[in-house]
Amino acid sequence: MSARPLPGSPAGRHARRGLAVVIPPLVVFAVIFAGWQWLVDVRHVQQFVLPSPHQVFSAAWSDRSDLLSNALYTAWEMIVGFAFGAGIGIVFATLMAHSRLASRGLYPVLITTQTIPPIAIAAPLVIWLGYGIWPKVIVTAMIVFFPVLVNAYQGLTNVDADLLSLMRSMNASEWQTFRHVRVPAASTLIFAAMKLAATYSVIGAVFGEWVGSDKGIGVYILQANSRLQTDRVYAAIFVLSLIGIVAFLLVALAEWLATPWRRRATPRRLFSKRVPARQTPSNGEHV
Amino acid sequence: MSADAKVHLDHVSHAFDGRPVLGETTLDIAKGEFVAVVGPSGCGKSTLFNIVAGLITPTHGRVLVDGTDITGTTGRMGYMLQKDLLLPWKTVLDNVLLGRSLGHRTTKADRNEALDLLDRYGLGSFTDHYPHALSGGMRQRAALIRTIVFSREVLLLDEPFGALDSQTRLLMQEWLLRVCSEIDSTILFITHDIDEALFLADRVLVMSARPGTIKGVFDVPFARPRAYEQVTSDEFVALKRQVFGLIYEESVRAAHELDPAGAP
Repeated sequence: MSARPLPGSPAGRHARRGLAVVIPPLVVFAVIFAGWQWLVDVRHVQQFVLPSPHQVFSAAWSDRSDLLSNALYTAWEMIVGFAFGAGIGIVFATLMAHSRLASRGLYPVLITTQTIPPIAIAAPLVIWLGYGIWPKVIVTAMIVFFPVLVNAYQGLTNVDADLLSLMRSMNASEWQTFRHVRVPAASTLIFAAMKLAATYSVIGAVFGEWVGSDKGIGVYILQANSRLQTDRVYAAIFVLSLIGIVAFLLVALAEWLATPWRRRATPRRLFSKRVPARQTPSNGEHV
Repeated sequence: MSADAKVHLDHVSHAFDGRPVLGETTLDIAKGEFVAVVGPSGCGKSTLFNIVAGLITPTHGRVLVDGTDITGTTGRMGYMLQKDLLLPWKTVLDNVLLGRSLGHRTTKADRNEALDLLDRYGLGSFTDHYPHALSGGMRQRAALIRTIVFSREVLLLDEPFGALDSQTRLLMQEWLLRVCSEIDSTILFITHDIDEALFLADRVLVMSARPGTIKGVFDVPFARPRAYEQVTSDEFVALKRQVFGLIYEESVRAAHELDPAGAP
């Protein structure tokens, strides 16, 4: 039997592989922070110019409730903006993949929207929509939308022509081909784009807040900066990057859950019974 | 057209953008017959194949199955290519049931039929695996079972073993002979491998250079069940020489058309 070795290994090896992934970046971060602390200590840099990591973390800790409530607000803007941006991107990609006319008509227009700097459109958005969540949602959605659109369109259309012929030979409808073939085939690219977009969405939310808001980490940064509370500025930046990392990891987790065939030999069945593995009859030769 | 023809090609020809790729072809395939088509590359074998599959509507002519005109209609035949085209995100069982599941909700009977075939052909313990866990030969067997489960009356196989290494291919050919003896399918098999064609088929058609037409028809007299030792018999070698001679002529012609200076 020449079946390939099945992925999925004993727990010990799994844990070791996990450590091998986690430890190197931690070491790099530790080195960067140590160097930073050393620089500030040795050169006696003034706190309002560059606070040391220690000062940043203590500022973050003492102001934790304010940071947290602003962070939650910004995160909420990001989530809503991401959902709209990614959703609209996928809908447009589907439309364009489905109809050549739609792709000819829409693609140039959609590319043009990307030449508008989101920061420029944020100001009039505040005039139209006020200080609430919507201007930030729209700016975030504009940033998220494009990479998702381009990758989803590429993934949905760039499917093996033979696979499409096979589906056609079996009388598959367009919808069936879309569901069984195009969407799973596009999943790699769509998730790659969404990981990118999740980290970008931080930028969208903060831009939106800078133009006009009374809440959020962006506002927190502006206020701390104007008071030369540089340690707080850095604490807020630290929180932002934490939000970005969590956003990235959430998309990566969604991908991990949605694409079991990439890492497992068999699907994990939670709700339905496993197909009983029957015995191969003795005359079954193995090729 | 003979009365017992399962598949009948009636003066079929095809041109892409006015450029003829398939010359007028008339062909009867009897019920249960195994017909292999060989020919130089670019001779229109695959066009012929896609016309029979209903994926291409020919410029002229008709395709009939059991006397019914099915020209340009898909869904009547099992279709298999060199690539196994198993969907990586579906288990072997779900891949095998794919064609059925497109028509209606798969029933317990469908599942049992698929499981029986997978069992009988040595994939019984892999039904719940994703295709990436299977070897090349196993994947190709799963692909053939998918083809049979979708439609076993007429199977169209376009170089199904072309991507396998030669030992695996040999085993797969013997396996296909066994499958053929157990199911009553009519088979159109395209290959560029003369040995394979003579070993498997009841009848071998040689196609001419583009625009392809049927240049020669060879009945393969070897009794079934066949064993691979037969390919070295004098009779086999003599037949192979004839087929090869005809193909060589056409290959030279085809090469000359593409590159007038380079061909011998």
